[in-house]
This record gives sequence, structure tokens and C-alpha cells, in this order.
Amino acid sequence: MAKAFVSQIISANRLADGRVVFLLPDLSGWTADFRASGVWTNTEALEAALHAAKAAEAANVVLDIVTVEVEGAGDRLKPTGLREQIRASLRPTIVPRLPEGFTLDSAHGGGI
Amino acid sequence: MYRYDEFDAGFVADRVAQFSDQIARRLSGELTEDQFKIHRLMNGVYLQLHAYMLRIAIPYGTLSTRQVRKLADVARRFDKGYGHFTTRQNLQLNWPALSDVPEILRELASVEMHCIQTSGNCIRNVTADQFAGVAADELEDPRPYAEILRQWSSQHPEFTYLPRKFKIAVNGAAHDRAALLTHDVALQIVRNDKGETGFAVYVGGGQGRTPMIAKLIRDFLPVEHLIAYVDSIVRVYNLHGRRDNKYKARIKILVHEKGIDWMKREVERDFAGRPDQILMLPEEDVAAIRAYFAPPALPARPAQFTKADARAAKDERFAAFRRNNVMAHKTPGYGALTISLKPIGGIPGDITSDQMELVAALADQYSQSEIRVTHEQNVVLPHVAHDDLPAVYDALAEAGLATGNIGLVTDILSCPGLDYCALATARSIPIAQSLSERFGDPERAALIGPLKIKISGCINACGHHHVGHIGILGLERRGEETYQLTLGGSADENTSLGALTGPGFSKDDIVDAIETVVSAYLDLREGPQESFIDAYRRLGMAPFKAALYAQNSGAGI
Repeated sequence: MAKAFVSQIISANRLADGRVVFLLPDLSGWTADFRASGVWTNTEALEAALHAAKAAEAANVVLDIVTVEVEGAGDRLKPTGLREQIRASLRPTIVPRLPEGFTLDSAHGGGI
Repeated sequence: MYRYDEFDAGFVADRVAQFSDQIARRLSGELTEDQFKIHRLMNGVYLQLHAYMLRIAIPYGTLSTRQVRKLADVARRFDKGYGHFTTRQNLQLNWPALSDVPEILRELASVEMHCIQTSGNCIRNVTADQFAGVAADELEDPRPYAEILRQWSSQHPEFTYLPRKFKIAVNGAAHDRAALLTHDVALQIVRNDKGETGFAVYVGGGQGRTPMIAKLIRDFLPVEHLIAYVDSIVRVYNLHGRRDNKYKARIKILVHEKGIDWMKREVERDFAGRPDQILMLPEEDVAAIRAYFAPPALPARPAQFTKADARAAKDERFAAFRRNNVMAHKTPGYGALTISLKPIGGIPGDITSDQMELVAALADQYSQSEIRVTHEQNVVLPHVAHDDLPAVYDALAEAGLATGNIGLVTDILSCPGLDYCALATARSIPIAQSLSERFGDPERAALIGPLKIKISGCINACGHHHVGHIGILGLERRGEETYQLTLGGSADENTSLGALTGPGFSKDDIVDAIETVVSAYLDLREGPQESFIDAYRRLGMAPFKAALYAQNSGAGI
């Protein structure tokens, strides 16, 4: 019996700055907001989305395209695996503990 | 320290221009990622979990304050205001944009820094003892030789595409502070019966998924043969190293599969077959390099440490700081101070731009403007007068850098792990933070004594877990992080690989498991004078295994 299709999103890294982005639902571009990413629920739709993603790769917008299994929807949407959860959060899980008066740069994305 | 001459400056400038052009052609699409990747790796640019990562070379861990200020500035302007010192004495930035890398490299080049050969299948940063040139127990400063090796290996036309990465370390004291025998080639400075200085040469060490301890290939190599002989080793490796399987391509596999006797024969044959004088090191050339590393003229300081002793008598934290973090210096009245980048609950090896600038200011005022980086992810002010320690300590304390824990249980070595690394299978930093908090009481840490915990977030072992007294390896099993425990590893002159205790532990149980191991040690040791590693070597695994799996039955997975 064929394995049931698991909903997936498409992620990649932006070529210019390496940051993680997600393919938009209408295939028009990429977003850094995981919750705004397109979710593909069947093979045909996923293949069409991958086609668009590869076009973006060929156009030097992104690299390292991956499909990521997800569960939930809307605000509850999340990748099923820990690695992709961390990646989708766009930051490490750790919190730096800085002494008073010592800061991290906020101009490049607000701390870690 | 070594200063660039016109050739060096031109060499780095040329590389910056070349790589900048390659980046431009990648961004425009003229180069594909497949075409570009090998070049970006050779220039220290990785694509990691969240962003690009840039690895900046710190040759043999030696920095000037001018360079540290530039690193602080680059981290602030182009990254998020912090960097991470690695287990090979380099610095990593976790968030640079590829489009900014050309400007970053120009900024680094302005202070004689670069990212050349910090990745890729080539000879990497040559590392050395962080107390080189200052340690009282040193036979000779290893840095001149590390610098010679650096120059020889930079953009070497024959060794630019080796089967795999190649790591060299040099040590100058009987006590191995450079983790020599975990390297592809290790050079230990020795004296022969005639009092001549040379090297004991080892080959075939490495960690990763197949850890091996390097084997002796030559017990005495004269200095003048240093480059020629190491060149022969790499030539034999380049010729015979496997290229069919990335996981079996390191020289350690070649030495393991063919045997050290075979390796010795091949290397000696290549070495003996060289035309006379090819790559021989004339003494005047070595002397010229040594001159760059001449010790600074340190002002005489009193043998009695009045201020430091008075402070220690009334401030136990300062006393612990002085006791644990200060290494005996060649010059009376001075010490080599290790600044811990492992504050309790902190992220091992991370340092903010603000903290870098403070360290630079302290180095200018108290340490001849010199700073070192250790392979255990701390930094060193190598020339601090004992009676200046109270002032240095107070300044460091305001920056969260005065933890007196060097060599103790909370001086934890950790790779970035799954929080940053695309190769990782589990997180390592949160485990380090939790362990640091669990054992953070300074009295308890002092009671436990010397104990090196090393954590890797995958089998590539960048966290050196194989050579931790307690090693932790994070893996993924059925979608969950699981942590294997090894005991009895060591990276010093008695190098040993840790042994697996048994089934792994969940992230919720691993800290308790370490607590169990430490408690077993405290119960079984012959006294406070018997360190963890000595107790383990006397007792073996059995009592620790019994404690772990009896008390945590059901937790092991």
C-alpha cells in the first residue's frame, strides 16, 4: 500500500545572504516567514512548486532547495523534524546570557 | 608575532581579488553552485543551517590587539555582534552575507588576516600550544615552525586538492597542549642526546567517525628537514590516499590500512629521493622567522605578589581565578592568563564584539598587546604580571569573563551543533549550558578537580568528544535527540580515545547521567589528588557503567 502523502513546504537559502526562505503559496517568490509559506498537499502540486523553485535556483535567487514535511496549519504549522523546526525558526534555540551593558548587534536581525 | 612582508600582503590581496571576482560571478549566475562551491570552501565560506558561515584563520592561535579589534568591528558591521572560537583556534562568524564577503576579506586583509584554506580538501590552519613562547615548561617556541609550515602550505600547487582535509599541529613542551595525536601530522619538539633540537613526527591521527591516535613515524627529525619531510608525508598521502570514499579519505585510514611500517618506508623513500637541498631549511631562514617571535622585553616585576596575594586572601573567587586560570610564565613575576569563554550557563567559545574590545584593551594595557586562542575555545593574555591580576580580574568580571574554571568541569568544549550546523544530528550547546549550570557551584567544581567534558553534535566530532575525559556525542534516533557517553578520553601526552558506556541518554537524562558519573568518581577516587582521568584509568569502565545503568535503568536508549 503506497505511503500517504505528507504535506510539505519548500525551503531554500537565499543566494546573496544565505538566509533561509520558504516558497510562497502562489509560487511568485520567497518569504522568510515560515508561516506564510506554501503548503503542498499532493504530489502534483508539490512537483509544480518544485519546478518553480528550481527556476528560482536557475535565476540565482536561491540555492539548496529542500522539501520539508510539515504538520498542522496556520499558526500551528510546523515541520515534523527537529532540525527543520530549528531551521524554520531562523535562529538557534539557545539564549546568550550577556552581562549588563554588553550587547549583540541589533542592526543585522536583532540579536541571535 | 609574524608580520607580513610585501609578498605576503600581495598574496592575500590577490586571493581577495580572485575570490571577490568568483563571488560576483556566482551572484550573477556566471558560475553555478557546483562550480563555485570548491572555491568558497577553500576561502572558508560554508552554507550552514541558518546562513553562510565564515571561518577566519588565526594562525597557531596568535593575535594582535589590532586584529582582535578588527574582528570585533567586522562581527558588529557584517554579522550579529559576536563570533565563535573553534577547536582549531579559528574564529567563525555565523551570519555573514555572501555579498558582504569581499568587503569582509578586504577589512581582514588590512590587519594581515584571511580565511584561506580554513575549509576544503587542503592543508588547514596549523595549530600550536596556546602558551607558546611563554610557558615555563617549554623546550622551544613552536610558533616559528608553525609559521614556516603555514607559508609552505599556503596555496601549495601540489596539495590544493588532497583526498581530504589535512590538519597539522606543533607543540613545544613535554606537556601536550595542542592535542597533537589527534592530528593528521603532529610535530613534537624534542632534543636528542647531542642536545640538538628536532621533532618527533607522528602521522595518521584524527577524530570524526573513525577516531585514531597518530603513530610515530620518525623519532628525531632535524629542523632543517622539517618541510622536506612533511612534504614527503603529504606527497605519499596525495598519491595513495583514497578518493573513492569521502569517509575513508583521511590519512589516518591510509596509515591504518597499509600500516605505519609501510607509511614509514614510502615517506623515507620519497624523502631520500629528493634532489639535494630541495626544501631544506637553512638555519638563517629559520632564525629570521624565529626573530618575529622573540619574547617581548617584559618590565621586571617583583617576585612577591603583594596585591594579588592580598586580594586572594579576602576574595575566594579571585583566588580561584588565579589558581585555575594562570599558567606559570618563563619570566618571574608574570603569568599566562586564560580568560574563560565558558561562563556558567554560557555558550562555550562565543564572544561578543564588546567583549573582544575589552580583551584587546586589557591586552594593550597588561599583556604586550598580544592575545592567544586555545583549541579548547578560550583566549589567553600571555604576559600578565601577577600584581596586575586583580585589576584585570575586575575588568573581566564586568564583562562576564572572569570565571575561574579553566580545566574544571564547567570548562566545557562544545561544537556549535544543531543550533547552527547543517551537518549536526543533535544540539550540543544547550547540553553544555545545562551541565555548566548543574556543576556551576565553584566549590563543587574545585572538589571535583580537573575534568574535561567535550561535546559533539554529530559523528564528525568537531567537539572532540573522543578525547574528552567525559565525551558526549549527540545523535538522532527515531526523530529524537539521543546522547552517547564515552569515558576515559584524553588529548594530552597520554592521548586516549574514550570508551562507550552503553546505551545513550535522552536530552532530559544526559545531565543526570553525567552527575552519576561524577558522583561515582567522587565515591571511588583515592583522594582529591586523584583526578577523574587517573581514577578512570585505575578503575576501568565497570563501576561507572554499573552506576549509570543501575541508577538510570530505563533511561538509557
